Amino acid sequence: MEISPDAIIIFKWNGIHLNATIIFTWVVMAILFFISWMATKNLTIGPKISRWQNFLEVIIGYIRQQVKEITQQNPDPFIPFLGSLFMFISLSGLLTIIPGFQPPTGSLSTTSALAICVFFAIPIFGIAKKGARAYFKHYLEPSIFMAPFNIIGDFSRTLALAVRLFGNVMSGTLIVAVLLIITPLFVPIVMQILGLLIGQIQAYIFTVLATVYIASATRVESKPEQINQEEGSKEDE
Amino acid sequence: MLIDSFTVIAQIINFLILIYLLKRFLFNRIIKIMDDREMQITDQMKDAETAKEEAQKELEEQRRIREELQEKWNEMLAQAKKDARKKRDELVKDARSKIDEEQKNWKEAILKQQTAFLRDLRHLSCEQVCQISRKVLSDLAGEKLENQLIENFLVQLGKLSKKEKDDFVRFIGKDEQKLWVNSSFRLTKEKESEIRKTLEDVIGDKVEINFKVSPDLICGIETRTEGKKISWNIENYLDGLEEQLKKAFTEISFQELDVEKKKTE
Repeated sequence: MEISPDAIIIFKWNGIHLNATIIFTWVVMAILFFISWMATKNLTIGPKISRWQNFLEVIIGYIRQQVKEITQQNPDPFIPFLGSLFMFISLSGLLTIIPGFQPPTGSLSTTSALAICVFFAIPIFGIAKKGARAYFKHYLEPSIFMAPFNIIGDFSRTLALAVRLFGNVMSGTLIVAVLLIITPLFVPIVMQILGLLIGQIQAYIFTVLATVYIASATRVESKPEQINQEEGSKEDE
Repeated sequence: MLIDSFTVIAQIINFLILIYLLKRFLFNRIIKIMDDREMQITDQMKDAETAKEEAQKELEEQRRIREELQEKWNEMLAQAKKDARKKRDELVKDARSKIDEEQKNWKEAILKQQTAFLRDLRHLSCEQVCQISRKVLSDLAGEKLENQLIENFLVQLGKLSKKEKDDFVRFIGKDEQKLWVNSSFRLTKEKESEIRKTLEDVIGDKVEINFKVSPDLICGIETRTEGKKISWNIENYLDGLEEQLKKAFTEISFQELDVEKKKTE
């Protein structure tokens, strides 16, 4: 019995070995792409819209609202990154309902990759928003002696992100697998439902944490009234 | 080892590709559409607000116009009522004056008829009285009415006082010195000479005396100059009768009028 889908090697060629994680990631990506493509093929602003469009609008509208509430900024620059994170993790969790599907988020490699993306996204957004000088200055606060701890904090939270998601998803899958051995009838179904719920909650937690980190990196603390003015002007538009 | 470096790198690349694809095909489009829709809705609401305001204005305008029209209408109605009242008063006045005039004409016509009737009656009465008298006289006394008339006329002439005689003479024309004796019947020569003699006794023989038959007298005889006459005829008796008749007619016609008035009321 495998803990990680990484161990399931499907194709091996010249040192490149395609394992189940990558394959199922592609599956999730393909489904996401297909849905997006289908839904956005003929978008309308009229009162009559397609169900897919409506569905995606609801999800994206909700993501926007959440991100806006957390960051207190215009959410649009962060949406592609945070939205992709959420939708990828969420769909991976959802697809566990299909027998034989191994969620790519149940692999520590995948969660590490996502956490690394978040790790690099934070300074990218921060520097883009405030400039490199202002961004790196916050490592020296409240005093220069806190800089190592700030840096360690950055790494540790990235590690926590990766391990938290991996642990939850992997445990969900593993519990079902174990229960199938012990009590094959009914109980695994309940646990699977619980696993679905946990998958969605983890998708939410991962995305919200990433949002909070990015928000803290992009927030201009010294001039709060300026933020308010920007917000006000954007809302006016 | 739970972390496979190749898988991590592959997953990072996969995730970056996913971000690109979703950004390109999903987020940008959907967000644009959502913003567009929001803007459209805002515009529509603004338009609706404007339209509502305009409608409100229009409504106010309409209300104002309606009130004005109502006011005008009331004024016109009042004016029309006033005019109608005035017209009615005029018409009533006209009708009243016409009725008064008709009444007047009617009264005049009645009076004319009455007068004509009385004249006819007088004439008829005279003739009747004459005939009856003539007959009575001839039947009872064997005398002619005419003879009696002449007798009496002569007696009257003889009875004239000095003053009356002078009055009479004074009226005889100075130049022509003419005197007429009118009678309703032809006089015999004897009677003519008798009358001539009596007149000459009264007024002297200087005047010329002419005899003439005048049917207007009905029954009687008279002597007249330019301005004065002495007559003896039946008409003198009939004046009283005429007065009585006139009075009686007036009373009858007034009674009829009263009855008609009561009927119309």
